[in-house]
Amino acid sequence: MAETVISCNKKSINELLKKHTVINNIRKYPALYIMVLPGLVFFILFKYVPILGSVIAFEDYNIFKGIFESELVGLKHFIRFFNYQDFWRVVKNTVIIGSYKLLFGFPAPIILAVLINEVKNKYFKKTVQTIFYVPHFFSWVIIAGLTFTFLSLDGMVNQIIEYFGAEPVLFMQQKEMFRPLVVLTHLWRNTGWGTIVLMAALSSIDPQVYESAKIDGASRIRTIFSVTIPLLMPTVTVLFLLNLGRFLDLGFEHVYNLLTPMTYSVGDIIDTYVYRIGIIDGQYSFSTAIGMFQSIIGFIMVICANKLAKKYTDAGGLW
Amino acid sequence: MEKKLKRSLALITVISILSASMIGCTRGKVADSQEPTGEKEPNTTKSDSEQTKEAGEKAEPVEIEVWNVNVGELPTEKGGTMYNYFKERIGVAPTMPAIPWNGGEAYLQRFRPAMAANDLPDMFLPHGGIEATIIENKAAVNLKDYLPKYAPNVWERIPAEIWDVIAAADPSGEGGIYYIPMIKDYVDHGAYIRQDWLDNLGLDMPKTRNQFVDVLKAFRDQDANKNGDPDDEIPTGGREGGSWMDHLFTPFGVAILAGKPGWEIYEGEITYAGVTKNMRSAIEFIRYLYQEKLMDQETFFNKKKEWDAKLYSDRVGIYYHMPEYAASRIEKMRNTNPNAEVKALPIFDVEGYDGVVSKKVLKRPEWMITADTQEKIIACLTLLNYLNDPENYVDLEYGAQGMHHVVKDGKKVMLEQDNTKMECRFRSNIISEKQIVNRMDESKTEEDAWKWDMVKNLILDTNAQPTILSAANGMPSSVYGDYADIRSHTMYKEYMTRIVIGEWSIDKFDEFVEKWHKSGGEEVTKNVRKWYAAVKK
Repeated sequence: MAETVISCNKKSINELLKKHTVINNIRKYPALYIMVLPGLVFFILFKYVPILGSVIAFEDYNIFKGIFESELVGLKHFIRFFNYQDFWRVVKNTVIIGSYKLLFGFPAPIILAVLINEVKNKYFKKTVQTIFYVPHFFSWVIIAGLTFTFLSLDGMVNQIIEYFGAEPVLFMQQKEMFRPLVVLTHLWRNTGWGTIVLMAALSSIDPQVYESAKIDGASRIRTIFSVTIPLLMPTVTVLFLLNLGRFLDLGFEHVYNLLTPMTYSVGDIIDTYVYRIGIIDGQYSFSTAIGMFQSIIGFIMVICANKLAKKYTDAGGLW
Repeated sequence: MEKKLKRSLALITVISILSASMIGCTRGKVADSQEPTGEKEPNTTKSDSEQTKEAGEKAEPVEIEVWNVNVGELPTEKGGTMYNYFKERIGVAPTMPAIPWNGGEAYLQRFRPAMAANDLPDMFLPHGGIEATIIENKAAVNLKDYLPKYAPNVWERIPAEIWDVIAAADPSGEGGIYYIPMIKDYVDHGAYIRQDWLDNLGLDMPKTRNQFVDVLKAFRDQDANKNGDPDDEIPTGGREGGSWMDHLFTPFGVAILAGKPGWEIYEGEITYAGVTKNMRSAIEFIRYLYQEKLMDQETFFNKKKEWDAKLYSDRVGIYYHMPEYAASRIEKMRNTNPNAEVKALPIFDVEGYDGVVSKKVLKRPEWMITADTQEKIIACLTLLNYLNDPENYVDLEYGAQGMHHVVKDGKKVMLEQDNTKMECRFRSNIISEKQIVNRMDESKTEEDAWKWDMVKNLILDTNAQPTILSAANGMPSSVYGDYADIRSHTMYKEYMTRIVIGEWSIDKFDEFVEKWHKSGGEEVTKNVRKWYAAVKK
């Protein structure tokens, strides 16, 4: 009797163990693990291995000598960046444009998604959605080209201005107009695309909640503020955190294609500077150091925002 | 057991990461451990005739990959037209990918990664100062001993003084020759004016500053192109960043090429033209033109396409470009206005300044060879030798039959330039004014003589103007060191454009000069003067 109990216990312990070991899991669901493998390899090869390359930020990297032979110089390149005469200009521009994008670019898809959600006609809704997605598939080169043409002396905007008897204005060479234009083009291209995740979140809201709101006599506006938005908040928080991580990462192509020497003072950002230094001038170590600086700031911002989100929202943070 | 598994999994991961990173790094390592190609001695066991004979008879041609400027032409691929063209003639078969140029920026975008991946073509145009790094690391072939033997046309046609300048750019002091330059004995940029517009308005060719401004005013206010609309004329202008408007700078004695200020002797010392008082006066003048709407208000936005469109639609009175490419431009202008006629605009007199074009004979480093086998190095040089044989000049200009020209009544007739159907013609990198002019005289037909005569006069008149030999001839790009913004004229462009569009007053120029010196200009100036002193010796 006692023996059977012991053997029984052993058996259940073994079974328990079996359940928890990775290898048994793999044995049990081999297909799933095989499916994960390419993704894992991708991340290791293309996301983690390149991080090792960041070591060149601390070297005087010489492409003919390679990573191992190049001379170590410590923080020289970081110090050089902080001493760069236009350091504050590029950082300031980056932060300002980043804030504008967050301030206007982040709420826009939320508003749009809520509005589209209120549309009851299915076909109309789908059509509107598709129309809003389309700009996302244009590259920045094309969008910048369109912007320049649109605002040129013979462009549509100036023709309207001239029709009303005013002097035409070259918007693209006015530094006050640069940042608003960056934000506007960003909104035009990305707002529709940004609604995708939100629409998915909206569709998962239980219709019963809306029904009970209706029975309680809530108006449509009331429903939006008391049902839709609160239930959307967890998704919004996650999106916000993801956005913050890319706060300094403004999208090189976007700004670069709109930039001219006349708007350097308001539009020269870290990315465009790195492009000049890294790609055009081939100073690999220096541009890596700047990139690293940017990543560290982004990393700190995500950590802080996550902490705050955990503290002040019910949904919690990313992790 | 679980622990063990975890450990072994972790181990596998670490090993795979390490091995993956090693793959990335060993490529560089292999290249390093190889004997530096620059040190290779030319193969002296075979005589010249044997070499060429061998090359000619070989069933398998020596294939080489070549990179140079491409302005939208088709790539030369294996078995392509130009590939076969050279294969048949010299047993060397070049391929050339279509790398976009875009002022050189797009080329660099492609070149830098290739260089970092140790994946360079056999022979290429080094652009944007890349040659400095390559020479410093002796990563290209030292051509000093090869050239006289395998490319005598290149070696002998370029004057010894120029080879000396190139050898002086070798930082090791060994006087290695790591690149072959583009040599032009004439000025290949100039300003052109619409003679028919002047005639329509009864004006003379402007000779002084005031006359120049008067002509611009007449173009602005009157119907110079006689199309019935007095408002569509753009008196003059240029392109983004102030490129292609040098004719507004040179009268003030500013050394400049395609919008990039050069280095010249000012007040007895070699100086960046961008920070001189000449430049200040030039910018002040251009600012005045811009404010008076005497130049295109969209000058600083014009990309090549937009500016060309304005030229071709008969709207621009004075423009700046290269006479060698004038023929097709004039043709397109005539499509809009059959009376279009273009003449070279002389440098107008400005009181207190000596207007002068600073001529660079050594235009730029044109070819570097990084081929890794003796056979390929010699093949590259055989190709260059062929391209630079004066006997082949006219033939090469005509390109391949069927693609670039057709034969009519036993005479070659050029087809109209159409980049979407044509591969790049490989050209000589040593070009003389005489060669070009002779070729135009020889190849013109009755129907197109007007065009070639017009272009010929542009070249002759442009070169009849006062020119000086640039002091910065062959200056190595290593003088810029790490000062990327000085090399790319970033600050100059910003200040110049903002002053011209009227956002800033001309007084801001003084701030620019001070800032330029502080942000590395002083250091670069020191390097340039040191180099200049060494070359002068």
